[in-house]
Order: sequence, then C-alpha cells, then structure tokens
Amino acid sequence: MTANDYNQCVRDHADGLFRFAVSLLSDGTEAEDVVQQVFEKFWKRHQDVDVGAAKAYLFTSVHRACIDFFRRRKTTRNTTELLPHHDSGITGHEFETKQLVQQMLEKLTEEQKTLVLLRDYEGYSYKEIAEIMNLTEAQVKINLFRTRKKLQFFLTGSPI
Amino acid sequence: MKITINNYEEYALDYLEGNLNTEEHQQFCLFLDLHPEIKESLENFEEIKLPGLAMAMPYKDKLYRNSSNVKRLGFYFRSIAATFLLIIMVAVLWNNPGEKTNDIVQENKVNIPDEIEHKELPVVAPKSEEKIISKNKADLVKNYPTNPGDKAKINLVTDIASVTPDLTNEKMELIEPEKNSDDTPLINIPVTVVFIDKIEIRPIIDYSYSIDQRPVFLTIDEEEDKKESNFSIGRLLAKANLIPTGLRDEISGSTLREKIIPETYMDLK
Repeated sequence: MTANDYNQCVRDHADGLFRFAVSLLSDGTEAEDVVQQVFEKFWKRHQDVDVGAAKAYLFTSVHRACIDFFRRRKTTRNTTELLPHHDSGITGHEFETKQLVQQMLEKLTEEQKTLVLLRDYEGYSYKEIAEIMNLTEAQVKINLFRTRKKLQFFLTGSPI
Repeated sequence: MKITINNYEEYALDYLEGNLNTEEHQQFCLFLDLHPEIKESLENFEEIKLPGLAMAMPYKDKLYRNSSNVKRLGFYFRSIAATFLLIIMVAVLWNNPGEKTNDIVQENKVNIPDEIEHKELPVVAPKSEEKIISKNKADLVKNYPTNPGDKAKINLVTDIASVTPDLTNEKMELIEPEKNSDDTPLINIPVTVVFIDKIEIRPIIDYSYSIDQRPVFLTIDEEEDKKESNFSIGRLLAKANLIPTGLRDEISGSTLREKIIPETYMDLK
C-alpha cells in the first residue's frame, strides 16, 4: 500500500472507525485516541498491508483497542459521558437520536454491540464480521439474531 | 443440513432477509410448519436496525501522511551530493591525474553523506493536506456540477458521511405526480447532510442516485454563505410507495420514524 492509499483509507474509513469506537466506548475523547493510535500503527505498517484488506485491518484494530480500553477502565468507567466532545453541527434531533442509540447500545453486551455496529453502521457481511471478531459465520448470525430480538424487546416491549 | 430447534437461529436472519437458497428455504419452511409459535414470532419480527449517526472524526486532517516529500528531498540531496562529488573528482583528476585521487574520493564519500543524513531527518513537514484537497477539487469538478439544476451522482460511501432526516417537523410534504404520469408519489423529508470532504455547497443542485435501482433524490437547497461541508440542509425525496397507503394523508414525524426510516433511511447508509 502506498502513502496515497493510506490517505485514501483515512478519507474513507476514519469517520466510520470513529463512530464505531464512540459507540463501543461511549466516550468521544477515548474514541479519538483509539482511532489516532490505530492509524499511527497502520501508517508504520502500511507498506505491508494490502489495499483490499485495509478496511478489515482497521476495524479489527479498533475493535481490539476498544477491548483493551474496556479492560483497563472496567472499574472507572464514566457512564454519564455518553457523547463525543468534538461533535460539530449537532441538531436537537441528532442529539435525541444519539441518546436513544446510546441507551439501546448500553443494553447490549460488548460482543452484541460490536456485531450490530459493524452490520448496521458499516454494512459488513456476516463473513467479514466473523473475520473481524474471530467468530464463525454461524455464530455471527445466531448472535446477531438474538441481538435484534433484544433490541426489539427494548424498543417495543414485545418479545419474540 | 436439517434445520431443528437447536440450529434454526443460524438461518433465521437469512430467512428474514431472503438470503436462503431454495433448499434451505424449503427446509426452514418445513421447520416453521412444525413450530407454529416460532413461525408466528418471525412473522411479527420487525428487524431493528440502528439509525445512523452524523459523527465525524475530529481533527481528521492530522491523520493524513505523505512520505513522497521526504523521499523527494532525500533524492534531491543525494543528487546534489553526487553532482558535487563528481565535480570534485573531475577537478582533481584534471589537475592531478593519477595522484591522490583515491584519497580525495574516499574523503568526500565519508563526509558528504553524513551531511545528507543530517539534513534529511528534520524534513518531515508534509504538505499532504494541500495536495489531497487539490486532488479532491479536481474530482469535484467532475462529480459536482456548478450549474443550478444540474444533476450529479453522489457516492454515499465516499462523499456523504450521513443523511439525517429531520423528524421534528409535524408533517412531511407529499408530492403527488402529475396527472397521467407513471411516477409514484414522493415524500419530501428535510435532512441534514454531512459531507465527508470540504466542498462548497452550490445553490440548488439536485443530486440523484439509486439504490437497488430505486431512485432517490437528494436536493441541496440554497444556503447563502453556507460553504461549510459539514452543515447544510437538504431535502430527501423518497418514493412514497414505501409508506402504507392509509397513512399518506397523515405523515407525521413519528410515523416517519416508525414506518419509513427503518426502510428508506437505512437503505441509504
């Protein structure tokens, strides 16, 4: 991968990675740190990474970094800080939507959260999600189905 | 593989999304016939998907890199050094043919590269942003027409970070097609558009694109002095046949949220 390819990756994936990290960590500053660190490491290794594998590499790296974050702050997590600090142009509606999304995500386990974020935000196939999360495709489908049921219950109160 | 109560969940999403092959579909239907309670629950299953968030990586510009400058400068210094060395060698050979040549060449070989390495190290001031923006501008000329009324294709993945519908409006405008037209009614949804690149929002430009061959139109309204890419109000025109017929006269924000957004909006992401 060339420097231009790397820059294209920044352009294409930085926002998605940030959204992914914010949703996982519930903290904009930490998410920003994670994405910056991942891109720093990515830059050091960019010549060894194939362009086609870059997106999966980046999301896998952010996922792992977020898991490390969870482990480090398990006891000190500030759950009241739900939104990123540096958002600009947020309308009232967006704020409400974000709160709703965040509330929904807080009901999920870390694995369920990652699954649904990769699928809904980033549009990954089940196979790609399986690769990123080191699961089988069947596990992804089963867990995602259960997650959707959980979300349905949370939103409508009707279990299926 | 036989579908049983122990493994049906593996096939449930594919069944709901219509991704099972013929054999799997038949098997799954047979399984559902044996388990009417699961069949009923799947029939009532409304797939919940998360709404998109308009969120961009802060200070993204810092992430851009450019090694070409460093390489170019390194090549530049090496070229100067090589030329300098060559001149010295020619001068020495011209004046003192056969004498001390090797010593002088050796001396220069040792000294000059040290200077080069010294100078090369601090030169890491990438002008990547400038280059990238100018490249984008070139692309934009192609992709974003400047004449009002022109249409352009938008790539939702590379051009737009998000399209967030404004559901605070009480009622949404329904645009009926002209008489004797084959067009279906369109629904006019105000949206906040967040562009990924910093582009100038030209007034009244219709952007059109299609998803699964279903046309959707995004119109950027005229916004005076609004040249920031991450803030512009547009309108989304989505086919109204996605709305249940009985609801078309009363399209409220809540109806949109419940009935339209999960299908229409999420398709855009």
